[in-house]
Amino acid sequence: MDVVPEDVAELVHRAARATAPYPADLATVRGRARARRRRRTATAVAGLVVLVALTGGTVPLLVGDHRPAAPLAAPSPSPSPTVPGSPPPTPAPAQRLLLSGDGGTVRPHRAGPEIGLIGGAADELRSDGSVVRHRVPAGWQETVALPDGRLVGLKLTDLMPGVRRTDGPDVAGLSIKLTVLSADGRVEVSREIRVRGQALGLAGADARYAYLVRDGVGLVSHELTTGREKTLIRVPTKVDGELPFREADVTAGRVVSVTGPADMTRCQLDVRRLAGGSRLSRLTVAGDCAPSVRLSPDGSLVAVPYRRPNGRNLDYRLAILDTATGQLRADQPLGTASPTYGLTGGGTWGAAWVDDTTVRVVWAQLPDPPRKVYRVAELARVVTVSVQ
Amino acid sequence: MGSHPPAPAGPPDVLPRDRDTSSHLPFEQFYRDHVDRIHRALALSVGDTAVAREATDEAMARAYARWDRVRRLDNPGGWVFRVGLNWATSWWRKVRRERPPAEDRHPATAAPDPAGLAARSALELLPVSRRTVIVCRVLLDLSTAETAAVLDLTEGTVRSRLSRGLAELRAALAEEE
Repeated sequence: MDVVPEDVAELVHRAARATAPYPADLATVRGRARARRRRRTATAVAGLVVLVALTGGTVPLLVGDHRPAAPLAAPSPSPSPTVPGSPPPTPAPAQRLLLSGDGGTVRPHRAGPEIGLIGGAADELRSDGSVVRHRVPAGWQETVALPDGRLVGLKLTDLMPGVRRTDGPDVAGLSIKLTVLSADGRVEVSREIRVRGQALGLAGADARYAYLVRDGVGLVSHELTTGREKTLIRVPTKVDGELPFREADVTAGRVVSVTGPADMTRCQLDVRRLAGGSRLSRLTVAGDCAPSVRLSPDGSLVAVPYRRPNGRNLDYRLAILDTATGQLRADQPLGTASPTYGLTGGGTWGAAWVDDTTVRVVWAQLPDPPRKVYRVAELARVVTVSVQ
Repeated sequence: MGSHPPAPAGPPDVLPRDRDTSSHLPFEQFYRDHVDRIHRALALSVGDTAVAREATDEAMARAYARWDRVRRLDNPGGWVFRVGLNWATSWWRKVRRERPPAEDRHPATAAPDPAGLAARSALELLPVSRRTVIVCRVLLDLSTAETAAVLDLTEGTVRSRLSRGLAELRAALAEEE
């Protein structure tokens, strides 16, 4: 069929007219464009990223069961970022699980409370079920948690506070330092890595390197101790202002990233070798990829949280795929989210592999009805998925 | 390899013939002429007015930032719609930046049209992919070829989704009656 019957077309037009008109505001659009340029000055790609707040503190959290949808007990504040004397997790997971994502809030009624779900600080869900809020410096923007306890991130500093200037990658007086924090919070490395005029992102890190995405260059290894950089996968151009290697993870000499256009019915990912950049496989899942795509420690599997529409709701699932063959090894439901006052009422908030065959995923969902702004740590449930 | 192409955030630059604007059109006029229609199209496509408003703002901001290039496209309105649709359907962007205004999911208009509301409810029952094709064909007044270009689909896929979508829409409307 190539023609829309007039009666149906008329109903579609009436459906559109039943939507509230757009409150045209050109100033908002211009402001948004300026803000967008400012954001992209710092980072434009999402790797294993976590927005980190400036305060810290340990949050004990009990877990009765790490099987699917096991609820976590509500956290309570504690003054120190670590728990001296607490028994080490046995066995230690291969990857650390950070609660990633900003979330959102809304005030449904003018006189009512604000509600929402926010990621907040650099919260890490440990294998014993406790949550640690790491202390990080002001201006900390992205986090990769190394297995040895260190955190790698970017620290942004406005060197000309209060001075109005043109936004964008070429803005004057902005510092971006690659920063490594030791397990006890000390600054081990603080190195300026900004190249003026060049957008920058942090795609991943391991014990020796941070993996940066540099606009006009591609994926670059940055040696933590010396600062030496080497281009691993050259991608000289970006499309419509977006840096490559979206939702990337770097592990075991491989990088996985989302490469297809945003689509609620299909997500495409490429797995490439860091050495030479050749493509190992192209993977697809039947939905929209979520953040926290994670390669297994040996790089043989990749865990891909994704969602797909189900009527007015969204079904969230976790796919595990073989990085060599693209074969789907597991596809498990995580939960269903409903729209709540324009917010997405639930979602996945991080994933990490316990070993080469078992992955943990964090699921959090607003209660019905929501009564306040919740932290993800309050509502988080852990879903564990294993493959043979 | 070294030439791994990143995913496009917007539609391809080569779009069908101009129906919206000329290459000399200032952004302000384009904005006034198109923003409400694109917003309503996005609202029906994504099924959420608050997200559609954010998506419209974001897409228009991107068009503004590179207007010298966008205005030369054959169909700037289609480009903005596609960018907004991509933004609205990206889980990552929604989770990171979702700051919807405080209002109902579908704020009522001053004089709600029962048939319009019923049609909107029926449209929301359709899969997003089919709903979007209907919106492009009807609200944005795009041809099959233009819809295919804007949504990065084949013309056959557009026809298939349109046919199935219209059949489902009729069925849903009949149920509501």
